[in-house]
Amino acid sequence: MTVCNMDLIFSVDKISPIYSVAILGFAIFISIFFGLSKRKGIKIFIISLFALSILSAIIMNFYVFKITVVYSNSLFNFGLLEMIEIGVFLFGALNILLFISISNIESSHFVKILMLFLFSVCCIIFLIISRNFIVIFLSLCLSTISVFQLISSLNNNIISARRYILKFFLRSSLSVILVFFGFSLIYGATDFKNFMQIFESDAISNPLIAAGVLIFGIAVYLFLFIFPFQGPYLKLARRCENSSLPVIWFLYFPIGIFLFLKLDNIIFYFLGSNGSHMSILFIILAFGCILGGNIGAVKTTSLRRILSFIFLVFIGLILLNYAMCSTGLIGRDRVVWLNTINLILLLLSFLPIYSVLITIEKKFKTDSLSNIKGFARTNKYFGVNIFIIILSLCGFIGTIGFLSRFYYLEPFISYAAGSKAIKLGLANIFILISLTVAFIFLVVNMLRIIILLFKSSQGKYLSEDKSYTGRNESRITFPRFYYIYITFFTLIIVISGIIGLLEILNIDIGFLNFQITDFNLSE
Amino acid sequence: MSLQFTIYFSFLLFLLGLFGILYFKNYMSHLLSLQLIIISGGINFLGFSKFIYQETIWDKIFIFMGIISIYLLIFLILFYGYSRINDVYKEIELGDYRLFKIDKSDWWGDDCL
Repeated sequence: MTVCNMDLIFSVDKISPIYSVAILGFAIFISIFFGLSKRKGIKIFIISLFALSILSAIIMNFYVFKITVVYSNSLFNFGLLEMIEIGVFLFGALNILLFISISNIESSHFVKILMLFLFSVCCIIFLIISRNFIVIFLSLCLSTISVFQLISSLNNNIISARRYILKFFLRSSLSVILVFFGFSLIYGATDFKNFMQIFESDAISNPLIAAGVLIFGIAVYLFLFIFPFQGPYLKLARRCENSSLPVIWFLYFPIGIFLFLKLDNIIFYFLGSNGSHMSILFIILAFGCILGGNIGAVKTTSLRRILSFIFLVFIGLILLNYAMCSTGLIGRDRVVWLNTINLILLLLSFLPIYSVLITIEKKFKTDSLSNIKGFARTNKYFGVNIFIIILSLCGFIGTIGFLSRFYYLEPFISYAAGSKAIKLGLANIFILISLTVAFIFLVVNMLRIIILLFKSSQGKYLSEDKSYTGRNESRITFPRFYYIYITFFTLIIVISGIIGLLEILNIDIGFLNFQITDFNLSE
Repeated sequence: MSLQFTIYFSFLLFLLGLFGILYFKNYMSHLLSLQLIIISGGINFLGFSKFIYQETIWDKIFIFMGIISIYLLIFLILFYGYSRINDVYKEIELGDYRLFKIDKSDWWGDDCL
């Protein structure tokens, strides 16, 4: 009987990507009955339930893809790209759950905060798989609402953050409203209901479509707080409570990135038809974002601001991918791969680094760079792990960061080796300069952290009782779980880096039945 | 009334909204400017529906659902600003809420906590 029921549930013609959301929805439904509870046992039960539901949603996501390969109807579309996006996003969500749980378990609203968090996750999954304009817009709007609720609940006790929460989400509202306006312009050009239909029709050459896409572009630009409009984001990042920053990085920013990826086909069309203008636009935006973000990170002594600026640099790199595609340096599939690998690299690097930094911040009560002075000497295991993770961000060979760097520089390396496949015009020289600035400054920023990590902690330091001591008392006792957590991330970074390196060198070890350095969306 | 008139009128409202967002410091003025852009989008939808597509149902659903969700977002922001639960309401009338104000501290150095 049970087998029969299971067959019914998982019958091939009925399975859909909504099942991942249904699992999360079921977890929210159960938690409704415990919403008012302040008992620690209940809180731990809800954390376990939500963690299990996210894990199940990840498995269901892969399972749905395995069964259906491509699922499409008038409202939703689910293929390889969506499967990867949901997988990466849910992995990030699982980690955010951990951060929220560690920072807020004592809060009397803890269960409600977790429910808001899972609502946000559901809305963003809807955004990823949405196809129809109505579903895209509604999921965008609801995701923004739920993330706003989540961040304002998390910062309920942080008075200094409130003003910047308002400024931050006032800007997001403007972006959402601009998207609404953009859809109204597109409707004037055609009554098609999704971007793919527009891309495949003659309506794409209508000027109203171009105007609509331009408004969308501005909306996404403002939504992502790209240079020089990063003010509210950086000010909030400095003031918010510990778990809010991962929420902004891996719940809020992905909304903008996924919205931008929805426009892929249209952007590639305009890149093809207005090649030079679009290339120049993307190069200028990317270069500004990369240079501004990097110099901002160099100038600050706040660890939170450094990480926030580096996040902006990676968004600049995403813009640069499109510029590289427009000048013929890389293909369309490579753009999607680079976007994905950048997001994965950020997840794998930022989460373990931030988990250690907030523990240090709790001890010193500030997020100053000087807090980490000598940290690697007093906490050797964490020091070594952070060192490897930072090397990955720098693009050191044998780590996952190297894979991203390699494919950025590959066209230029092949040109230097005598390949005639690309022409080194002015646009490509600017792209090369942007990449050089991005990678050199990133290394400078990371070296700054590495030097402080390994620097001798002798000197004049303010101790916890506000008296000056001769050494930095940065020996922090981490819970055992942190050792497992940071080791897990380091291993993923190194193993995936080595597998990728072997793929680049064309050495087949038969370990995986797919390539991590390439995925073909047309398959 | 013609399609041309509705487009010009909607564009005028959009520009007014944009001007309000760029010019005013005040929080309420920003919210009002956002309303103008929403109305401008709504007029576009209705105008195109009437004059080009002979009143389809799809745009009505879009406007209905879209405006409900946008107003929910704006209501939440308004409530957060004016709620007595936190202290933001005390400074909201006098505070500088310009969306595109660029401080030196946004980029160069640190901002004071």
